[in-house]
Amino acid sequence: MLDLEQVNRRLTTARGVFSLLTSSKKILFGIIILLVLIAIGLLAPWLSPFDPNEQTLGKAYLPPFGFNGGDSKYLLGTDSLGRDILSRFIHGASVAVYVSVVATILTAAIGVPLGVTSGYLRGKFDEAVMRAVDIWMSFPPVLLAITLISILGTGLNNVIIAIVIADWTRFTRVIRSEVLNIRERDFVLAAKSIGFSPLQIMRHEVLPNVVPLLSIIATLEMSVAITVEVLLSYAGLGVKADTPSWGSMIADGLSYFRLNPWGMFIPLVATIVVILGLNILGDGLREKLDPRLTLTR
Amino acid sequence: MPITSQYLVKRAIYMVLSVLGVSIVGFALFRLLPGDPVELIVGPGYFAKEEMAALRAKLGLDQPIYIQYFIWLRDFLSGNFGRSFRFDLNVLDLIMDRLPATLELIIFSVIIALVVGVVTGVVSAVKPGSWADRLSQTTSFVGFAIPHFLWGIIFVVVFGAVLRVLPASGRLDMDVEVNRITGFMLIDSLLHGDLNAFVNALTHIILPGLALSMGLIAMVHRTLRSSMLDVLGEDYIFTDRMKGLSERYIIYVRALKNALMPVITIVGIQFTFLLGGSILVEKIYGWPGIGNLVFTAVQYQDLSLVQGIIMLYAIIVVLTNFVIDVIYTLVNPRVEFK
Repeated sequence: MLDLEQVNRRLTTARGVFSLLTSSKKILFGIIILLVLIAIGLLAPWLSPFDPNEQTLGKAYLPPFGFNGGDSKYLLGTDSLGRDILSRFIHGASVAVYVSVVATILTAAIGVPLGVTSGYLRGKFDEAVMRAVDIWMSFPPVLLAITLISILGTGLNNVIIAIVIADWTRFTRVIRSEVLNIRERDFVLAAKSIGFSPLQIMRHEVLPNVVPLLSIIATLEMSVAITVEVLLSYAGLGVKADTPSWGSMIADGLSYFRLNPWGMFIPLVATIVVILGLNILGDGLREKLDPRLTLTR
Repeated sequence: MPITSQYLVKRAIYMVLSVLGVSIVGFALFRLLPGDPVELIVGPGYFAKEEMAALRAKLGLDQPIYIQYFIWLRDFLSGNFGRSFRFDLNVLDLIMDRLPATLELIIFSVIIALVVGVVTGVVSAVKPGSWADRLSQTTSFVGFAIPHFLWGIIFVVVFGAVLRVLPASGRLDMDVEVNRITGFMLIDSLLHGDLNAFVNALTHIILPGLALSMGLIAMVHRTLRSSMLDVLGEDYIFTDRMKGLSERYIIYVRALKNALMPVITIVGIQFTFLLGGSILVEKIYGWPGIGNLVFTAVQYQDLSLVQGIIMLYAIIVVLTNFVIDVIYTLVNPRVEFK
């Protein structure tokens, strides 16, 4: 059993968090990639040299600067409509940040309260939640997301809604099974014996103790969210046409691959690096915080 | 505790309830659609209002949702999945027509995963910490972290477009034809004795099959590595060594037999993920299976077809989970069911 008090001390003080984040190469590597992504995403309006949708038709299919035919104005080249790939890539980063952060917060906002209450209260409520989870787990999430987008229509926020509806069970399942352990611990029994109400116990005793696990699932959920956005945009079911997302860049880029392979190469590599970074971060956190937990999808 | 009939009945009831639950959720989701399916079938402004209403009545779309659901359920239980608006064909026929392509792809990728995962898993477990172990551990981390469909795109670009060594679209070249017997291209071509077509089909299935199997290879590798390490520490292996059995025999026969059990479970559990992953992989490779059908159905808001596919997936998922549980109990009698 992991030493909850020790972990909590690390997670509740700024110094503790800092020492945790720098204590493993994996965590450090993942955090750096995440921070770079967030920085590019937040600073996109200032970093990007062009409007991501500005078309210069005479300048289509340019390779990156330094290659034969490249133009120093367009450092990473241009796509089929003469749009600057670097600018679209930078704005794509803010799309990825937005989708992953918002979708993760929303799935956690549904999954954590459900997981904590059903795991702590047990009984009929738990039974009902678990049946709902069972039903959801019988849909392949991809099928559910595709179906939802076809109902909701394309667009960034609809992609987020689809991710949340398709994937809320991840937090619920994992948090619930952790709470099943926590509720038998001495400090919970102590709180019960001095007359804390179930709500107080859940808030003050149970919830803080799922934080380590929460951080691990959150990294996983962020990479799932980015994946789903790219996947839906690739299938033409993601963001609207004027939103520069890495998924739509990959799909566009594949269609003019012969004329300029860089159009799909850059967003594809970026997606892979970010997904790997998040997975490495999650793996590092798991090693430090909860060695029992095995990787699950 | 052995499997009791009581447990089986309880599980069967849960299975039916889960599938029913999925049918209600799926039905409700798609009936809340803002678009008008009738307009999508005939095109806007093609018919007068009265004719549209008649068509709607004919399709049963003028009824309240819950009545539509009960009509659908009655038909479904009698084996009638309804009619596809888009193809004007029986939904079950359409699904059965496409299912072999999807199953062939999934089974092929399971075979790849088992072969590659078991070999690398054994190599890892025999010399833990060696460079071969560390290399395969890192590779399997990457294989697992990157989702199926990104592997699909990577392989299309690398092998299909840049190196041009393997075809990246469809199940056969345009000029090759195989008459359908089972619907499994690799089997049918052999049944016809057409080796040329077999090789052609094989080259077409490699890229999508590999893309789909990357995650599973990693899972098999990881699972076999740890179960093999456990088994190699058991007393009976020690006894085998004392008896002077060859190391190769001990590893590949005596140990592997027992170490494979958790792998079977993992493959069963991952089967549902392969099913989900195949949707996008089929889209990328123009593979004419259920996955591609999903996109057509969704695009044309083909309600009966979407509902039929959702039900098919739900039934497969629920049945797979049931079979895994039963196998698991049979193999490991210590598992208790409540």
